[in-house]
Amino acid sequence: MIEFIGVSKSYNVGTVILENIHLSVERGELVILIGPSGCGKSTLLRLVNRMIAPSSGQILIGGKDSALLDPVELRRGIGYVIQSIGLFPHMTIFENVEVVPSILGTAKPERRARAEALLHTVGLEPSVYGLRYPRALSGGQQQRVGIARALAADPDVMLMDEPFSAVDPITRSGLQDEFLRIKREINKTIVFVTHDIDEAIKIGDRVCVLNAGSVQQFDTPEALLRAPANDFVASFLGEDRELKRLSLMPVTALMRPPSSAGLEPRASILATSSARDALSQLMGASGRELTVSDEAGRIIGQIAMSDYGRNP
Amino acid sequence: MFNAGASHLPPIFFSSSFVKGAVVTEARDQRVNAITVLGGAIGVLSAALPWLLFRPNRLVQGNALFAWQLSGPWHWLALLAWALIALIGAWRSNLRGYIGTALLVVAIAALALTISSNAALLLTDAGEFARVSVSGGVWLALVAVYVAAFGVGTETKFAAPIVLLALLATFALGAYSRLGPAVEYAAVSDTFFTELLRHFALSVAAVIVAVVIGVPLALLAVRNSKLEGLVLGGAGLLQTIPSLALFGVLLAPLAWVGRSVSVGAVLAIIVVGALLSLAVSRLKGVLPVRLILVGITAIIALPMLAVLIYNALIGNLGGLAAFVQPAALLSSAGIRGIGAAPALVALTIYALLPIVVNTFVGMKSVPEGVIDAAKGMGMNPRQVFLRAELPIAIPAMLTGLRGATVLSFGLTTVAALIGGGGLGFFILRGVDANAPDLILVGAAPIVILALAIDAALRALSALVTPKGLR
Repeated sequence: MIEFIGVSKSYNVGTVILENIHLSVERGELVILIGPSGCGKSTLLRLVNRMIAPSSGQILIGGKDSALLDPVELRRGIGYVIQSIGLFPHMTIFENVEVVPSILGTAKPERRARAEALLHTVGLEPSVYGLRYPRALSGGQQQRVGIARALAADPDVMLMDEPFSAVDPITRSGLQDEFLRIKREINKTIVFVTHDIDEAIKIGDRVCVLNAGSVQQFDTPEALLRAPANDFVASFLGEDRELKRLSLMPVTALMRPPSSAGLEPRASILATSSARDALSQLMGASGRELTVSDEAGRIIGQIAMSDYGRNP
Repeated sequence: MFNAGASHLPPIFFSSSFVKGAVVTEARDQRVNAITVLGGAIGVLSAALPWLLFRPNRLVQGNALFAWQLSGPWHWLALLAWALIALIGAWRSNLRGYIGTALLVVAIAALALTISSNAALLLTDAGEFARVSVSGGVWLALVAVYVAAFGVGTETKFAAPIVLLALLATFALGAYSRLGPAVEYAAVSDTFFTELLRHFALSVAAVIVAVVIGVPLALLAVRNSKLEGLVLGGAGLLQTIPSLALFGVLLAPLAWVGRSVSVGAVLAIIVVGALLSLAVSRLKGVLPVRLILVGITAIIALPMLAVLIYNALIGNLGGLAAFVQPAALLSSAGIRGIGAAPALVALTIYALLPIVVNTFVGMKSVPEGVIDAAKGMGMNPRQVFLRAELPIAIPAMLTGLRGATVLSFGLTTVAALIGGGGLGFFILRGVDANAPDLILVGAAPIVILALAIDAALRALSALVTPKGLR
C-alpha cells in the first residue's frame, strides 16, 4: 500500500534526517515507527502525505508515485492524526468531524449522519458531544474526535503522529484498547509514530525501529523481542524484553495439560490472560502452580514457574 | 449604564441576607443603604466648592461663585434635597427607593434652575464676551447624582432610567443654554457639523487605508520570519515620529506632486505597477523584486485612495470628479502640501501600528497544531486561511481596528494645524482666543465620538467572535 524506495531527506546545511529508507507497508497493516527523538520517525510519516518533500527517492501510495499526485488531493484521501490534536476551536465537534466531507462537497445531512456514526465508533455520544466546542472536552475525548475527524472521508490510509502521548497514562491505555477495537472495525492501512515501546508492542502488527535516520529493524513485535538485530534495538527494547515478549504470549502457549495429581486448591487464571500476567500471579501466589480455566470455568491446563524455562 | 451597574449590586451588598436565607425584602430594609447616604453627602459637600465661574471678558481670570453667593431659592432647594437623600439612605423603610428617586429628580431640577437663572442674571448687560461656566461644585453634584442613582437603583429598578430622563430633560429644556460652551457652540453652529463630518471622514479614511496596508503587511510578517522584524519594527518606528515633524516632511513633496503631476500620470503608474507585480508573481524566487514593485505602487496609490475615500465621505463631488480627468493636476483632486492630504498620510501612518501588531498577534495565536491538522487534512492554502486561521485571528484583528479607530479620532485633532479641518479647528481657535469653552466644543464631541465608535466596534467584535472562542 505504501512503499518507500530509497528515500532520503536532508536539509541544506548537511543535516541528514533520513538516509536511504526502503520500507513497505501492506494493505490493512498497522506499522509502528519508533525510535528516540530526532531519529526521523515523524519526518518519515509526514513524507507520506507530502507535508514534507523527500530530497531523493520515491514514495508509492497504492502503486502510484506520490510526487506526481496533487498534494492537496492526496491529503484528502489520507487520515491525519497528530499529537497536538489540532481540533478547530471555533467549530463544534460535529463541524470538526465534517471538515473534510464539507471541503469535498458532501451534502450536509449525509455528512452529519456520517459524523454521528463516527462519534459512536470512537465512543462519544453524538447527542451529548456533537454540538459542544473542543475546549469543553478532555484531552482524551478531543483525541477521539481527532480520530473520528481523520476517518470522516473514509481514507484508505491513516497517519498517526504520537496520537496518545499527550494524555495521561490511564486515559492512554484506554485509548489504545479502544483504538485496537476501532482498527479491527475499520480495517485501514495505518502508519503510527510513537516513542513508547510498550504502545508499539501492544498495538503494532509490525514495528520499524529507527535510529539516526536509518531503519535498524523492521519486524513483528514478537520477532523483535525474541531476536533484536543489534545492540541499539536490544537496548531500545529494554532489559525486560523477555517479559514484554511474555505479555504478547497467551498463557495457553506455555501451560501443560491438566493433571489430577495436585489435590490442594490452587489459584486459577483465565486462558485469555497473557503469560506475563500468569507469571506475575505465580510470583505472588502461595501455591507453586496455577490452573488455567476457560470462560466457562472448566480447567483446561496448569502452569508452574518451571514451565517458563522451556520458553519457545 | 446605570441599570447594568445597579443590577450587579444586590448580591454584593446583601449577600449575608442571602446566606442566612432570610426574606430578602425584610432583610434589605434593616440596613442602611450606604451608597445612597454617600451620594447625598457628596451632594451636600458640593456647597464647599464654587458652583459657577463668571468671566466678564476673555482676558480676566474670572469670578468663582459659591452656592451662598448665588441668588434665588433654587440652590437651597438642591442642598436640602441632597441632605434628605443622605437621610433617606439611612431610613429603614420600603418606600425609601421611591422617595429617594423623587428627591434625586428634585435635586437635578433645582440644580438646573440654579444654573439657568443665575447664568441669565449674570449675563444681563455683561457684554458680548462675558461667559458663565459651571465649576467644581456642579461637577461634584454630578458625581453625587451618579453615586446616589446607584444607591437608589439597588432599591428600585426605575431609579436609573428616571434619573437619566431627568438629566436629559434639563438639557432639552435649555437649562444650560446660557453657559459658555453652549454660547460658543451657538456661535460656530453653522460650521460645527461640517467640521464634525471632516473629522469623521479623515479618521475613517485613514483607518481604511491603514487596514489596506497593515493587514497584508502583518500577514507577510507572519509567513516570512525575515520580514517580521522589519514590518513590526517599521510600524513601531513610524509611530514615534512627531506629527508636526511629519507634516513638515510631507509639505514640500506633496506640494510639488500636487503642482506638477497629473491624475492620468499617477493612474498610469499604478496600473503599470500592478500589472508588473502580477507578471513577476508568476516567476519563482523573486519575492524581493515583487515586494519592491508592490511597495512603490502602493506608496503612490494609497494617498490617492485615502483622498478618494475622504472626498467620498464628505461628499466633495468636485474632488471626486478630478479623479476621472486624466489631464487634471493632482492638486485639484486634493493632493497638496497642506490640507487633507498630509493629514491623511500622517493619520494612516499612526493607525498602522495597532492594526499591524494585532493582526500579527492574532495570526500567531493560531495554534501550530491547528494549521498542521488543516494542511494535513487536505485544505489548500486559501482554505487554511479562511477556515482555520482567520476565524481564530479575527477577534485580535478587530481589537486592532478598534484601537486604530479610537487613536485616529483623537489624533485627527492635529489635522487642523495644517488646514485639514476637523474638530481640532475649534480647539485651536479656543486656545488662540483664550476661550476654554470653545476648546470644550471641539474636545467633548471627539471624546463622545471615540467612545461611541469604541462601543460599536466592541459590539461588532462580540458578534463575529466564534462561539467556541468566547
